[in-house]
Amino acid sequence: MLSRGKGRPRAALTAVVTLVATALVLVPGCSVAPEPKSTVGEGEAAGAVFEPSSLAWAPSALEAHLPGIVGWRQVSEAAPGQVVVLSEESSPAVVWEGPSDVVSSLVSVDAKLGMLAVTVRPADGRAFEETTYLCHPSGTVVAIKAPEGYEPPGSLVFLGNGSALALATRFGAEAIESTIGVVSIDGSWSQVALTGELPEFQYVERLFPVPGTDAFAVVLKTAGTPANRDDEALVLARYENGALRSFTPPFRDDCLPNAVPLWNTTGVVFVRSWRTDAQGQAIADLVEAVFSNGQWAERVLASGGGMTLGIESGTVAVPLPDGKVLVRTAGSFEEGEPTALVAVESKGALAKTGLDVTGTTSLLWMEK
Amino acid sequence: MSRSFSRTTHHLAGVVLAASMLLASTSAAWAASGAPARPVEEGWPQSHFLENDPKPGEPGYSEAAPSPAPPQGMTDARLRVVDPDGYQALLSERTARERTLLSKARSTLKSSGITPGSTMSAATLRRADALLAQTAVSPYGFLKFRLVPSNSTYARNGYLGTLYFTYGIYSPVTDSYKWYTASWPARSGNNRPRDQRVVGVGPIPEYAWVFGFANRVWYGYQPDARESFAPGKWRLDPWTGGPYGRGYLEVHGGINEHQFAATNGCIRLHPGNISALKSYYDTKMANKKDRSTAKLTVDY
Repeated sequence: MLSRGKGRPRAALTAVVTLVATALVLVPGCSVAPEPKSTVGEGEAAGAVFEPSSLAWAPSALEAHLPGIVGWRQVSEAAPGQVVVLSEESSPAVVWEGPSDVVSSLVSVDAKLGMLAVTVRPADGRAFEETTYLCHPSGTVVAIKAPEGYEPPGSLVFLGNGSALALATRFGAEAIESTIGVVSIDGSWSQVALTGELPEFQYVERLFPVPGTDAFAVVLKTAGTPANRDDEALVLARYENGALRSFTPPFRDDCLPNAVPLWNTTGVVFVRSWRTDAQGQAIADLVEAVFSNGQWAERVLASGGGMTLGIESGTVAVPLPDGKVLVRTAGSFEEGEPTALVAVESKGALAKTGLDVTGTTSLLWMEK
Repeated sequence: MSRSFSRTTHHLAGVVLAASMLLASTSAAWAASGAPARPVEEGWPQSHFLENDPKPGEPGYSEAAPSPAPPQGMTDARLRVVDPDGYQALLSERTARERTLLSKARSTLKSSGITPGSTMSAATLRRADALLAQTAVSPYGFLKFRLVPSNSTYARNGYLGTLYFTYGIYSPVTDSYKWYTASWPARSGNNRPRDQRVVGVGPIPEYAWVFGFANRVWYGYQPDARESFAPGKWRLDPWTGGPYGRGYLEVHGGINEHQFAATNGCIRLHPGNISALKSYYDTKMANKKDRSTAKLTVDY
């Protein structure tokens, strides 16, 4: 299953200026707070002419190229986004392309369940009202009806039977809030409780599956300090009896927003950006965190070597089922060097793979 | 970000000269500061380059829509109650500016035969307002960005970022300014003031940046529908060679995975609040094209 890099919520902001003008709300330190408009998804996000059925896809097109690394590719600003499967020998195989009359963004895709979730917004950029759609293998496309006041889900995991576990966020007047729900086959939303051993947290930042296990990774925003390990916490949870129940203590690191799951292992990898060299220059550390025998263990897999920090570029690591990890480089505009995936070898050495990922994000290995 | 890189490659032939010139100046600035030239983040800073702004006909391009009149900002009395530290920070900067502004307003009016501080007809008042707007003294606006310790859900690394837009309206009748302020949650880099010297990671350095300018040229508000900027942005001067070698810094929005997410140093607002700031910028800042006063001051 491929989930988008960061689980940031979707904006739903047409007429925000009007809202702000009519609802000047005072909060500590803030005079005008965001008051996003709810998007309930009836196809209005893309304007009256947009036809949601144009998002329909053929899961068989993806399955034909698996196993492999799936990604979201946009070759130029003018081109529609594409779901692709990378190849070292040839150009990426395009298995789905967004319609040209809207701007599409991938939320999640699952080859085994034949499901695709995308967010669309108007192509002219003048309105930012967005809608996230579920695209079923039957060709049916339904809009997700997020709770009132919440933005379209940015993190979504398919559960089977056409349903999905989703995370929606609300940027309110006084606080950022999140809610987790099950999206049913018709797009309706049923709230899901997050229970079990949890640290004190402010809201849920991301939600993604750990492939090959029954676990879900839940990244929590906590009340941080200038220290390096208290702004975010990760717990692993299982979805049981209508609730998401944590079964691990929290693993803490400020850089968890770019974490991705390992295969067949209850753990994640992420790029840490808190270290600097003697010149004050940031150093990227690729870190693995694994939950085993009741505790978290971490180790640095590689450092520096041109790895991107992943601050604005989202997830940067691609774990493989055999335990290896690929990581993307920052590239070099000055030297005309594109961003690429490199393989993390023993002792942290980085080896070229021949996988050019220019313009391609949300990378994840996917099995048939 | 990666999209911008591919776009850059796509249009490389057309921009190579400008890019070379820009990069040369950038490299010089970095070298002078001792900061690194190697990339720290895919697609950055080239996504911020002027020549990489979306062009008409591209999905990332959008026209600037007219702004509706915004609600009046907080009065000083209100700001003092809800944000006393923010009020004090603005007051100290404003006091110095106000002396100059009053002098300029008075001389402008007197040179047109209008006596400040006197009773005036409606027609004279309208003429006075027009004169003051032309001379960029009323409405007069400036911005401030602060990071202060907080446990708000909008805070990161224990610091809440706030962007203030404050503006003064001069009354020819009372011969004085009345000030109003709007503010929004914001974030910059990792929000940790001690990291302001870390290129691509730390927040925008403390400095009096020129708002809406780059390389001494006024750009104002620039719509940009790319996900990491949407709905738009204001560039900040010095565009290159700022404190600690920092450059390519902006105030912008961001949607999808970039919504209120970390930046490489730019100040990021929720996209709805970019539109709100634009309405104040459009209607409450007669001095927006005056690079000597169109300032965004960063204080930690």
